Amino acid sequence: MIEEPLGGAHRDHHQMAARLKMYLLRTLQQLVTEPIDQLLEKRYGKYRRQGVFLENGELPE
Amino acid sequence: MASPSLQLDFEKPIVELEGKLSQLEASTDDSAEAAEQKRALRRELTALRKKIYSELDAWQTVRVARHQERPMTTDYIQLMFDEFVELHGDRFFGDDRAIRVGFAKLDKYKVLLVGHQKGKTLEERKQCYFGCAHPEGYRKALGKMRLAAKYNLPVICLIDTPGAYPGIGAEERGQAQVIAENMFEMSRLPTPIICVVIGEGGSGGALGIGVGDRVGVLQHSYYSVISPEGCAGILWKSGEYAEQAATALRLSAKDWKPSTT
Repeated sequence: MIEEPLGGAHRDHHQMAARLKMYLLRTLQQLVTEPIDQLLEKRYGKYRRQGVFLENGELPE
Repeated sequence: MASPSLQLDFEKPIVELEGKLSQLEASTDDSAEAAEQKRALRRELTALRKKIYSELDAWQTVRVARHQERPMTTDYIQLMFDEFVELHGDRFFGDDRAIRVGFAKLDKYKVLLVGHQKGKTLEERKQCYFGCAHPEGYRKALGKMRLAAKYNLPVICLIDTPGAYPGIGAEERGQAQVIAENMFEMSRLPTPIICVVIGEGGSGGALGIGVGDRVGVLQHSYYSVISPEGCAGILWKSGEYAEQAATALRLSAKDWKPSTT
């Protein structure tokens, strides 16, 4: 979650943009240094872990 | 920024206090008493804003997320990026104005920016279908994202849509299939992807550009499987129950579990 300026983003566009930019720069820095196959593996895992569904009443592996 | 017009009823006490403060500031009285009064009023205003905005319920959050003066993709393009070159068209049907795509520079990083645009004026809003993208928009986004991956450019997606456009033309041109393909391709696109919900994160319309390594949400934005009105329409056969639906959907950023990754 990225915090908004007090009273909501519509009150202060500049500060909101500055906060979002900081988040993006920080995240980019983490992501661009990671090898691409590792990144994709993690992305896959992130969505894989979000939920499992039952097949024939049994949990899949 | 100048005081925004009153669009949210729960902001009324804030706007009233702001009015009082600006009256005081406009007066020529520069005695110590007046200065102290102004300081007290400012303190009161900050406390009031903090209180109101920390206690927003689900429906109020939805209304803040939809605020007309809330910054949109084009605002962020102007305020955050040094350069922006827009890329148009999906090489198939047309150029969807509800999704903006282009190369941009964020400090030292060259990135591809993808973002929904709702429009500010009525004219622009009509062009953008109020932020509801058509298949050509999602196809455009995917095509340019592939291009970004080819040049090893990270992708940044700014999500702000009530949902994908539900019209006949959109369905005829394969809305659902296009969104599914985007999710499929984005899940393995060989370049970093960061998604941020900047306003409304409505359902498939959001997911179509919403798969990435990191997904962030702004504090007063919402992300939901369906818009509150749509949910109310299905469950209670009337959009009037949108408020109840918003609460039941648990759609605000507060309801999110922190990611473990």
